[in-house]
Amino acid sequence: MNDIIWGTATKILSNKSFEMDVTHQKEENSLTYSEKEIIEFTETDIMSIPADENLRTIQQIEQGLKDKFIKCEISSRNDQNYLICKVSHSGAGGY
Amino acid sequence: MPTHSIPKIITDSDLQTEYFHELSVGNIPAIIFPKILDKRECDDLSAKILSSKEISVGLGSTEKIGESLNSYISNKFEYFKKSKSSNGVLKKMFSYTDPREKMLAKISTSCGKKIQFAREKSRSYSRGIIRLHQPGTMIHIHRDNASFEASNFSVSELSGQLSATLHLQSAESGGTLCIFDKFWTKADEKHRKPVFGYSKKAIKKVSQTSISCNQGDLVLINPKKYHSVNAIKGKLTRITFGFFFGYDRHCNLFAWS
Repeated sequence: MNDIIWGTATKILSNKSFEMDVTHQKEENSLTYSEKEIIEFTETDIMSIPADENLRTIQQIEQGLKDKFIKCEISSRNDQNYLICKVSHSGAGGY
Repeated sequence: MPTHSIPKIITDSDLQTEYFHELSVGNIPAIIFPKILDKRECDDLSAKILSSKEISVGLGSTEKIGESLNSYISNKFEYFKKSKSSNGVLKKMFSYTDPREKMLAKISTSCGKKIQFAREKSRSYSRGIIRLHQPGTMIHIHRDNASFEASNFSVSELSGQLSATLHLQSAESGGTLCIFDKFWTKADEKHRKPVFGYSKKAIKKVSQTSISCNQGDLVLINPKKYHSVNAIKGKLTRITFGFFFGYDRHCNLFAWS
């Protein structure tokens, strides 16, 4: 099973990457992650972000991700030290 | 923990639109319209609800009949599909006494604005949600903010979101509504819990108002302030019916859940 981390997307870096403050890490994770990580996402459930990265704009990414609490399912870490993840909204802040 | 101001209890002879403004800006913790339904109406509805086969589990592990938008942030199609179905269930359940008529009328008369349930193109938003809180359960600290959390839905464009909750059956004891004197800010997202709500760190040293809600009372709160419900004690299930509402650019009110 993939490692999972949760946190807030703080800065959008490109149409497929962002900086994240990591606030929660799954107890069963095989590795430990830093308080700040750069995420490159391969897949997302966020409706306003097109699946095809060529069709995405930074504005769409900001609207869908910036300041949002999200869940990242980690598949690997690349040469740039970015975490390669599947990204989704996580839980709910209210009803 | 320190307490802050007392809720405003509004009777029919005391209808002033300024209370809505006070609630919106956070100067008062709640507006209470006492006994908008009588005991018999509440008991009849509660019995009907408790025997219903439409109860399912929702956010925060509460049992519910009806849909809430926050369960479908990433699945708009499913939200409207489920809302269409649950609106039918509620219509049937409320066929003799529809509490929404009195709730909407009270809100409209008190704030001097028309109110109706929201639609997006031809689709209806969920027209309220019944929540059943079983003895031993509680509702964790949370806030409600469609503008931030549901940005793909048209109700996110409404301003001044308020919450309306009708108390159909009170807990024997416990089940107190706590309003914390703090509005949510984006910076608080660091205190989020992965499944539901926020860590207590979000309301550390914040004063609170506790409201014991009585059967038949309609309670309006500003849901952008943190709130929670204490553990339900005794044998009775706490049963509420509620929805949110907010203003469009023409100052008309639209409701949803």
